[in-house]
Amino acid sequence: MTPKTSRPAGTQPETGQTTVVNTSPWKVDGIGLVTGAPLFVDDLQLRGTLHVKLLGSPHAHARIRSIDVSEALRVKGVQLILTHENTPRVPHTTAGQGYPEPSPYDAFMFDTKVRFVGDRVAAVVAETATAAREARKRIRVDYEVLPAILSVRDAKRPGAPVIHDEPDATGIHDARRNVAAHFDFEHGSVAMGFEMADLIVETEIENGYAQHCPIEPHVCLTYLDPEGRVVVRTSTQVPFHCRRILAQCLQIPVSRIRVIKPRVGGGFGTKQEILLEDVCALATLRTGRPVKWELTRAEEFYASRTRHPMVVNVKIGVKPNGDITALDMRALSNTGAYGTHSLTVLTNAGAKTLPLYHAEHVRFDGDAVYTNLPVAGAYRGYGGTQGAFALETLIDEVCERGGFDPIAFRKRNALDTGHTSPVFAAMGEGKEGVPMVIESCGLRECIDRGAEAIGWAHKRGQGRHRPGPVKRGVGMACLMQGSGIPLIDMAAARIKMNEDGSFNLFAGATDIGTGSDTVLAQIAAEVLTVPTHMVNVLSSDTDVTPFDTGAYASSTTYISGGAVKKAAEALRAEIFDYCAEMWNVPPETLHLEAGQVLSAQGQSIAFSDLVLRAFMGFGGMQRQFEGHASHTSPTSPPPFSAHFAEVEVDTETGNVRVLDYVAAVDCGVAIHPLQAEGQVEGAALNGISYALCEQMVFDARGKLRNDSFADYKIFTSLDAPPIRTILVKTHEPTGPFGAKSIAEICINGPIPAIANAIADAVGIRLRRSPFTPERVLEALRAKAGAEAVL
Amino acid sequence: MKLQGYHTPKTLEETLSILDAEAKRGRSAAVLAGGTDVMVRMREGRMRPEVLVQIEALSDLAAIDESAAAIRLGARVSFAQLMTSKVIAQHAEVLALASRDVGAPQIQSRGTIGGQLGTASPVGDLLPPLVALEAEVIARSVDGERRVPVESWLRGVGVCDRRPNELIMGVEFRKVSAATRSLWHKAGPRRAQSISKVSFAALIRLSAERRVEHIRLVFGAVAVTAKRAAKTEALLAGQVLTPALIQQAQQTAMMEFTPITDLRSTDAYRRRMVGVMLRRGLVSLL
Ligand SMILES: Cc1cc2nc3c(=O)[nH]c(=O)nc-3n(C[C@H](O)[C@H](O)[C@H](O)COP(=O)(O)OP(=O)(O)OC[C@H]3O[C@@H](n4cnc5c(N)ncnc54)[C@H](O)[C@@H]3O)c2cc1C
Repeated sequence: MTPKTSRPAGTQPETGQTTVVNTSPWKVDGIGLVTGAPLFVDDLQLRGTLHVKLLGSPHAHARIRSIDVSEALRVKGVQLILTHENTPRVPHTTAGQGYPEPSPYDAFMFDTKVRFVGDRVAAVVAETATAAREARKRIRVDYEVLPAILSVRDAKRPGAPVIHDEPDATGIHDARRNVAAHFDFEHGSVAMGFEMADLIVETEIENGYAQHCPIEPHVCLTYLDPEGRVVVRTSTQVPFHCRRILAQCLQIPVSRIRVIKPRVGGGFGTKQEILLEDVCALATLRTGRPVKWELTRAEEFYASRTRHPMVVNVKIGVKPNGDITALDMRALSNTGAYGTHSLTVLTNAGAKTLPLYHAEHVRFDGDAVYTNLPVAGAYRGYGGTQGAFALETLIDEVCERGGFDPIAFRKRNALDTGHTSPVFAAMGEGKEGVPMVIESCGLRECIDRGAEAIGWAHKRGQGRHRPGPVKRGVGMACLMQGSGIPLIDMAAARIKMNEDGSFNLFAGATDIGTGSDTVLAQIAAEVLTVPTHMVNVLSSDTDVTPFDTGAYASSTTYISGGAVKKAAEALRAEIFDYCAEMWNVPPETLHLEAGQVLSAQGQSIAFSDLVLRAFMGFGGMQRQFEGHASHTSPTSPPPFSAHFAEVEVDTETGNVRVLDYVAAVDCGVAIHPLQAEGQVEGAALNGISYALCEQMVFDARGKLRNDSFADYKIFTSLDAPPIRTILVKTHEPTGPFGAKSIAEICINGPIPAIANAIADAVGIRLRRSPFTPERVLEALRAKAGAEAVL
Repeated sequence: MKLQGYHTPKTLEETLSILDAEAKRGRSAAVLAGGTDVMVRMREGRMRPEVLVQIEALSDLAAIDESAAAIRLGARVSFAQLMTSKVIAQHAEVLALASRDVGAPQIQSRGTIGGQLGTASPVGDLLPPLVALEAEVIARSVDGERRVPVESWLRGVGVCDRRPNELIMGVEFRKVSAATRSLWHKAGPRRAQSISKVSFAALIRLSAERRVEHIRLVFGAVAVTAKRAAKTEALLAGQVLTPALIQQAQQTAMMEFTPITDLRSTDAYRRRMVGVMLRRGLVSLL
């Protein structure tokens, strides 16, 4: 609701020229971060804090016959031990998603069954972490060990053990076959499409288990406020979903819970989950004491969340002229022991890739299945990563087989401004989507400028002829994502004005290191014609800020930014009303400029004078200028991107080195170009590391073997290739000042771009990531063997 | 067993008598040098000493001493020292090359040669160079000093010849002649902080007509300890290095080792890398 006004908010004409937006001011939280101010969850030390340690399951799949905590309770300092015997049994999902969540309710605070190595058995709450660890050793658990499913391909096999046999779970697609979620749709008839095709190419990829590796692990501190409400200070991407799901699990009213998100040391999706908060809050309610729980790095690896490993099969039919007659994608997703994000990540594998190329006939069919392995959840890219690996490998293969130029083929078939795709309406986040016409698309410019930058024209197909064992190649991939979830994501913001002409912005939006507080301040500052530092941002406190769905789905700049823009415009409208009355002029004649209100008649007043007057009542007109607004979007305009990799492949060692990496991205107008570039580089490096190196390795009993940074390698700055970002500017009419998202899209490029570059260099197709030297060498030998036989 | 004591001896004599007394009491004492293995292993419960003996005060052990024909490294000499020392660059370059590939700057400044010898890991990156240099380990206790060739010092995975009451004083080796070439290569998953999949150190001297006059070929991470490729050395010794001979050496070297498959790599990959590293190293001399 905008305040009553003589004209609608936001009528100050948008000139398209901006003074704050599309510039790169200092991050609003930058100084505190670089000077080490105490601003993370763990920086708050409350007297009398109790510490939590989790007893995790040693078995991949077992029933708990009994738990004996009597000896553990006798350890000095132990206050409480939570198990399935003394906690509420409420089926829920740990996924922090819009309500009703598209994830099955298959999780319990504690259950009588454990479903992966590390699954919750008991939580010890003690005066010290040492006491908690000591007591944990003394808990006696009698397990009935069950056969486990340790491969995604075994999950649906007849006779496979049923992982979720509990009767009170809901929303599981087919529990008896271990299918957590299923989705399919067909537009036209792919069978007919393939009949019309002259060339049909099919490929199947498989991506590995990987971890987000945020620098700050999951950490939560709970305490009671003076009225006995529970305050939850937590490292989360979803403070409002957290409050709601806590109320559900603990069976207490939302009004008794306050969730505060301080600075967060990275999330990448793993903190779009309610993982610690339920145990901490319950322990605080039971003991009256502050309770803290921080995951160890090892727990972070095996007991938090991972990317969904998927087997994705795609098939394409093309005509001699390069038209696509049919696109068919089948996906088998491994959601691990619980179905968090199982449906939505699965559908996104198609929804964020299939619309990219026009095909008369399109189909998607996918299952997400349970296994007794760690729980997959949201991870930057969110299915798009898996889908892009498959689709962009396929496009490269079809070009090779059909003799098409990969750039020309993509440009011929790719989505463009004014286009739509049947996939938009067919596939949303786990259900039908919404139809959408693309209003901004810079993909072709991304392709051209990226190709130019990498030197495509003179490098493609050339590096394989280099003398010696080291070959070179270039590869590319085209990408799209979304900007928020249409008609589901909602953000709200409130802004008030102070007597020095500064503003306080209260936003539900959740800055997890992404820089969104800065971007939101810039949007408000642009509307209000002040420098960014005049807008103080307070975000993500459920007692103070209005609602926001949270930091996920590439939504914050687009959706939350939209709310902030509207709120600032509402405040501006209040100012205009006030000044119109004060000066007795029509409000239409007023505008803001450099922190002043000006009228066409020549009157002017600085913000500081205006607010002082409004606060102190010179002349009796007293008020607090304030604006608030909510925002949703009926569409989710995709950002587009073209990625290019140049690699060197050592055919004797199997080493793949990325020599050069170019990411050309259309995110509409970049509100803060430097931060946008940071998002691109971060995502690309994350993706390159995942493409070449990162993998979680399990033993034969489902236990993670590399649960530390010593054994799970991520790239360091020394391994980082040059990553060049090209921001291709378009203007998205539905976004704040023309902005679309940029947070996730760029993690989807490296795997296919590098795979295609390797194919260009040495003629092998790597379909299983990561592309380790061992696998590259194996593929090279297989190829050499096959050629020797021929 | 819990940590019960922490000693900070001021002198060598005091250190040796503490080690001896603890050994006689039957308590497991670990010398704490840079701590880059000790601290990690204790935290992971893979090492449970009852006593730690910190040797930070023994500054003599941090010296690199040069005599006419030999070099002596104190046990506390760090990777960083080896990387920057002129003496090492001139007379034992292989140690400097290997040190550069150890961990990252933090580990390079803390980690020591004594720690490498004490940990005796199959993947210790300085061990192949030390074997190639035919270094002798100098160990001392109240009973006296003894010298053990590195090759016999390294007895198995994490097992060395150190007696419970002994302090590693350092290593000594003959200077490498100016005509001798040093080779070093490490294959790991990334450029820093990575554990070797395979490592290779070699010292080779060729005559003017490329006859192999001296050759030491040592591989790490493909056997329980850093190990010489003895058959390959024998094949090459006294021969004129030619592409055909190198080819033969590659095959021989690959068959000399039976590496394992573990978290970091596969047996097949490691074996191939032994051959590739050797061939590339030898080819670089042609
Ligand atoms: C992050 C990280 C990265 C690493 N990367 C590498 C790498 O790339 N390559 C590599 O080879 N190693 C690596 N290491 C292992 C380690 O740094 C080396 O093994 C190093 O040489 C250990 O030296 P230190 O002085 O720290 O030994 P410490 O940890 O102090 O001691 C190690 C062992 O040696 C014994 N010891 C030490 N000094 C003496 C002495 N004077 N007398 C008797 N016993 C002694 C100790 O009791 C202990 O058993 C890494 C370690 C870490 C933590």
